[in-house]
Amino acid sequence: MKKIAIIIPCFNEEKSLPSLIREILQLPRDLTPIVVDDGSQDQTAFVAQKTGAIVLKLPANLGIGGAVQTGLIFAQRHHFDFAIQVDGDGQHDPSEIETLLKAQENSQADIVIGSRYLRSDESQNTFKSTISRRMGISAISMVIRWLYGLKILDTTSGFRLMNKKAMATFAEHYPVDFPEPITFAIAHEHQLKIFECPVKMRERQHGTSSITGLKPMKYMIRVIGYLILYQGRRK
Amino acid sequence: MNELQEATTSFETKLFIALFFFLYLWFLIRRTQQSRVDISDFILMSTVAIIPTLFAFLPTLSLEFSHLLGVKFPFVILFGALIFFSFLITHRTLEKLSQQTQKVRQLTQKMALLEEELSKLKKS
Repeated sequence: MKKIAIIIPCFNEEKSLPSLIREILQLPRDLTPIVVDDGSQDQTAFVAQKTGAIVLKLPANLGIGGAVQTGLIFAQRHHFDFAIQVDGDGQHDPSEIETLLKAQENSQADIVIGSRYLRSDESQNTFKSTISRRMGISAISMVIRWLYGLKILDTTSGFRLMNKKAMATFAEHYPVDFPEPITFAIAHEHQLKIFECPVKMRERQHGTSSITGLKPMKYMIRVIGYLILYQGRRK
Repeated sequence: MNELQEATTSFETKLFIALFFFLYLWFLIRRTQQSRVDISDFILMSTVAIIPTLFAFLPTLSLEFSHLLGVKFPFVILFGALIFFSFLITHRTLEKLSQQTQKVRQLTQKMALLEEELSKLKKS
């Protein structure tokens, strides 16, 4: 029986968290939800504890990179076979965890990315992205392909599965800023095999996205800068 | 001779620079003694007081330097040197800040992991 950790980085997610954990625990797999409370000011840690999840409470806000890395360190220390990152805002549909696990089984990849943009049947996807965000993601995707030779469409997807090898790599090296796209550079450096599979995603259940307006463009420019820097470091 | 006159500072300027030199060095020495400033930082920061003093009290030295570097006015060397050392201080500070941020991140993570282990031990 494979040990599977579900790492849920959270910042002020007291409203969406209970239903998300309930959904995870109802799945027919033996899954261990690990909530990483990234210095929330609300009752995130308390509600997570009530649901029976393992709670790692960071005393200060480290950002999503620091939170996910904490979960990975925990998963690695407790000898989990797989770690699956699921956002605490409810965007990632827990029923798609099975899709990621099956994709890993078939591809034997070290990292499986749940992609919003690979799905042929768009009607099943309730997640809607803005034009500027899509443009930004496409540009990052092009740069990753150009610099690292990796063909990944959903470069900012946080819905991903990591095996032991990937966990060990990321427990040691995990980017602080813009972790999702930058992890591809680290994965490439450590020769991790990446596979992208289609998943359906939902609109966030509560709260609003922090990347709105012109922010996707700013995000894109900074991510591309980081990717170029990482490429230089690799050489 | 004319060049030396141009490089020579007035008595009031010398007095002001000397005052700054002693006060700032005294402040830095006190801070270093209290372990609030590293000895290496003390050396770097004291250049901000030492350089103008050298230029004010040794005008021939500033002239020699400006001739050596092909600069017409000695004060350009003075400001250049000050900007250079300010850059070094900023660079060092930012580098230290990055290292400290990384350490804070690791400590924060360790605290969270230890807290979880502790609560598990308490429960058992």
